[in-house]
Amino acid sequence: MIKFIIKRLLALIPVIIGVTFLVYFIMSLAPGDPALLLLGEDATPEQIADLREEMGLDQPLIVQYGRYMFKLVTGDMGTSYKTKNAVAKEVFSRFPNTLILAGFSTLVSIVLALPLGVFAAVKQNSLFDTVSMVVALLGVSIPIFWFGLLLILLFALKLGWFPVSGFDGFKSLVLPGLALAFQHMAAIARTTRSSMLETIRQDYIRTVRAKGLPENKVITRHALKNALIPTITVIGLQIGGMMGGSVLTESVFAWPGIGRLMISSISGRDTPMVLGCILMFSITFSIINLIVDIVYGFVDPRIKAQYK
Amino acid sequence: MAKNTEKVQKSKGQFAEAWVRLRRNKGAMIGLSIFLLIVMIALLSPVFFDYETEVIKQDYGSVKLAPSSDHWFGTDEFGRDIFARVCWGSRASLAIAAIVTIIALSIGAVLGSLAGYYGGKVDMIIMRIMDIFMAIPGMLLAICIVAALGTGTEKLVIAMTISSVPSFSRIVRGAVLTVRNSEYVRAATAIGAKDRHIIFSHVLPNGLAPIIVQTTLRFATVILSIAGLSFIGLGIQPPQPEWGSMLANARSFIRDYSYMCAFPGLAIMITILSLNLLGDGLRDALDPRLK
Amino acid sequence: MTKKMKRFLALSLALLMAFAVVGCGSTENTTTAAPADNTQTTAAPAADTTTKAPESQGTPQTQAAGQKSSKDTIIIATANETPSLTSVDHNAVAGSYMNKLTFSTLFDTDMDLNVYPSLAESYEVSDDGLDWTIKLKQGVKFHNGAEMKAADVVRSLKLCAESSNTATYGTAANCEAVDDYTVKIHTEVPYSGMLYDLCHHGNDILPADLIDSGHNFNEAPIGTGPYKFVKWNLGESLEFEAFEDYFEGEPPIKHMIWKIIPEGSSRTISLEAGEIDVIIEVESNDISRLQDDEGIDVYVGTGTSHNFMLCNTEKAPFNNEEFRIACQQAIDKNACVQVGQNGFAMPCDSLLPIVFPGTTTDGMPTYNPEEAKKHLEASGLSAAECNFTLVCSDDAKVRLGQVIQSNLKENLGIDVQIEQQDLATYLENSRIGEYQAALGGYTSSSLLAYIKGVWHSSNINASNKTRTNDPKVDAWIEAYAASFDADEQAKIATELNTYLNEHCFQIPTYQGQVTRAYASNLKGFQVSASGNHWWQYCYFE
Repeated sequence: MIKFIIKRLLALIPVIIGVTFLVYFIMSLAPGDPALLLLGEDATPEQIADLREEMGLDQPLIVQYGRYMFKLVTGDMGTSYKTKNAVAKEVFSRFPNTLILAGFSTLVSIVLALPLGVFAAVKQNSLFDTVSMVVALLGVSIPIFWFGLLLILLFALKLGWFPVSGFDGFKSLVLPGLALAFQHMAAIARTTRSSMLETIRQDYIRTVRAKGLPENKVITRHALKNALIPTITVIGLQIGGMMGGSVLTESVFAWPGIGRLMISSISGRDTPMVLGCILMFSITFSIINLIVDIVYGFVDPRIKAQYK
Repeated sequence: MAKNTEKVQKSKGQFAEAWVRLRRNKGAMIGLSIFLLIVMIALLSPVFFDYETEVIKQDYGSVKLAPSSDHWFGTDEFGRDIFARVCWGSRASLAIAAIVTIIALSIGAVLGSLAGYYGGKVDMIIMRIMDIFMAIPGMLLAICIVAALGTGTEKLVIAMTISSVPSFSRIVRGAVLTVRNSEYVRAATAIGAKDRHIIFSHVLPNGLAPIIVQTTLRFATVILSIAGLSFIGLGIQPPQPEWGSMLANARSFIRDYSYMCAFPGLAIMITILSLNLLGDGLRDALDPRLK
Repeated sequence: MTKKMKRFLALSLALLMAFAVVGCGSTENTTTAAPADNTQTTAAPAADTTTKAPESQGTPQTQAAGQKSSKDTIIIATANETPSLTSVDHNAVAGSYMNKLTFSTLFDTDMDLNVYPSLAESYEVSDDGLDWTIKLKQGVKFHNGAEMKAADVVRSLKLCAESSNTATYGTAANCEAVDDYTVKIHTEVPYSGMLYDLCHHGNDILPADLIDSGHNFNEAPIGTGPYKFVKWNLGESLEFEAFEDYFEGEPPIKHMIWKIIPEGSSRTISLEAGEIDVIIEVESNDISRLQDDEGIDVYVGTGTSHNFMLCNTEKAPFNNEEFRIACQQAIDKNACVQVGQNGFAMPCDSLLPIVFPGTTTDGMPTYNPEEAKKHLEASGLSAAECNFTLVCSDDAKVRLGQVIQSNLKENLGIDVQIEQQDLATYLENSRIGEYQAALGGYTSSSLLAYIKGVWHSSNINASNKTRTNDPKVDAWIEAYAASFDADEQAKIATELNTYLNEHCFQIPTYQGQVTRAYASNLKGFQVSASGNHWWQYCYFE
């Protein structure tokens, strides 16, 4: 198992290098002279030329990327054009907020979706099944930012139960958390239900049933573990969607995370900051995928066998 | 060659069968009908509403009117009819989604087929590159591209296409892999058919089912992403109506004029819902094992 | 208010009368004042205004000093985060609010926009108007415990002039310390705007030794202000605590939190829910709702904020005067106010803020689509050459931008592309002339500051964003600055204003109002027409 984890960790390195290069390359297409933007209009041509040389802007892109990566390893993500602060400082001060939001949503969506999906499958074609699948269908169809606005309208504006926006303890986490969780909960519940249905029909489940084991034990002990494999895949995929969704959610609820920072940096043409935010998102996404893979290995013995 | 025509007939039969199954699926039929209706609205909007005078013209005498028989969905803060704007808004979303899906599918099909058919190094290189693209969540990749290139419809298309290609090529590659080792492909190879011929006449048609499903779902994702990008000001620019940017505008008035927020959001949701219903139905119809 | 203070205020009012820098007493709580009327009533001689200004209105009420506050934390919501806490590193309103807490200036402007001494004790100006002698208050402490002395003042005034963001206010840089509590400022030509410049946050007094040692004021803004900086949660909030040795006495409210809430309706709801106590930027949609709320007070008053569509006169198509006039005549200012500001502003057809004496709408072509078409034709520009990009930096500006977009399309067939940029980026790009047109505004507490900042050629690459470089304009501004006579100043203002209007260097949109909403139990809250607050006098009942 440890070998497997190490192998996957090593495989992460080229992906992260690739991702950083891709994002660096795309962002280098953004117009504007970084040296000029950093120094401002008052800078003399000599100052600009000096800084350009210092920053390596006269070097080929690949060399610039190399320098960026070299600094990145030491935790230096460059300097923001706008605030002139270190990008790493700005990004890391907001990153925990994004993690809190995404973590809470992931937790909520999994905790709600799994029982929902399992129960719907077990009671296939019941009223509960129909209603929960219609809700789940709506859930995967509703745009996250609109759902967020509807939540604000009902729970913050009309009922006044939760704050409209901001970052002030658990109460302010509820609405953005739900907005972000709903879509993912729906997707996870749908997958859980269909994989559960498929598993229940397998021969070995029939055998277990025939042996006279009580139905709830059949489900929890035997069916669930196998049915969970596709669910875990979907959770892994959903986390990517959640990263994108958190950008929108943070913008609807004025949540001070890196999603909002990224959007304001885009309108501010603050390329180093945008780069830093996207890298942060992508690296987190890769790491989460790795964790999903490892969990996968625990659940599915076949995969473990492959990597032994 | 005889084998080839037989194969085509067989696959025709397969699709006819799928169509029968699809027609029996109530959800899919509802989805298909709604979607066709939305397409009709998009196509016919210019007949019913004049863009210059009814969609973007501001009328300060009739701002923020609640829904009525004159203005079915009410008017916005500029006095523009929201119904006309929601209808016109479908044009941008559908057109961009269609273009993006077609381009991304074509590129994805070529890359996926190459990777799946040739395997080995070609496969490795293509798929590793796709892995890197997929390591960035789609929406963020699109935001990143728009951030670098600037806003505008063409740039939106580029951004959405780039973020859609990897999932298509992955699906196509998977489909190609399952078909590649089948007997009729081996036979075709044995009689010396050209690679290109084999890919396009045998491999792709037989691996079509998951690709069709993916196309439907991708179409929905692209519409959602366009709306999301416009909502944060990186998509379609005013005064052109687009659902996401209409929502962004209406947001300031959500408290007193919540109808302004209701209709563009509903339009997005219904469109996505219809595509999801259709996608679910297609998956069931094309892959009977799952039912 | 102490007796000594009163006596001093009387003295300073008398001095002000004598020099009559500017006069404007229009701070009544009205939302309906018509612009033309306003100009008329406020054009009274300055001397008149200063004498009639009642102390209770003209000078900030200071009764709160020594008051007990029933609540010891105040939470203030603002839309914009300051670019920096260092006073000389920005020229943003959001930043000036923060600087006002941690720093103090030698002088300050009161509710009537008249100057009163803050860190200064008194001042004298020589007969030729070239030498200013300023006596400092004694025993004023910095947050680090050191006493403020003349050396700190001298170093700070020089720093203002050295920093590109605030250089335009660095008019007092030629100064020296006579003794520990006396500073002497010399100018080459008589300059009536001196005291106003000393009110600007760029002339905040910082400890000289910290300036020289390269102290990072953005991380630890140490000054003599009523509040000490505690921490800055980037993108979220800034926290402060009362400075116990503040020279006017420790502020009654001990803790202060500024929350960054960009979304207008979120600010409204937070106030209604009691989560915050004050809104700085009240969403215009919500004003009437807030007025109906019993627990909330809303202040709506005339403001000096003058708003316009900035035109870069160095770039096509705005380098063409006929084109600018065509735009001016094609834009419906009433619609701008109705849609952009929900009616809470005054349509404006003058290139100077119409709240100051001598300003006029004369010479400015008014809304007339037919005339506009003729001017467009006269410009000789082809349809394609007319299209331009309009930068908008917030939701209200995007709304206003869409009105302008629609007006120009309909009346002139011009396609306007709206580009959203955040505030700091727009400020920077417009400063260096990297734009065609943008929606902007300028708020100042004196007309001199306005004309110097917005129209003098020396402020190109700073606040002269139209990049107007006209010797005639400069001459008027210099004459205005050199004059210590209110009537003469008003006359110059009229001539300058008419000239600017005739050439239509940019397109005025509306004259803003100052609106604030706050919890009713907050007492002592005051805001001037230029947006000045006195947080040190606030307390909860």
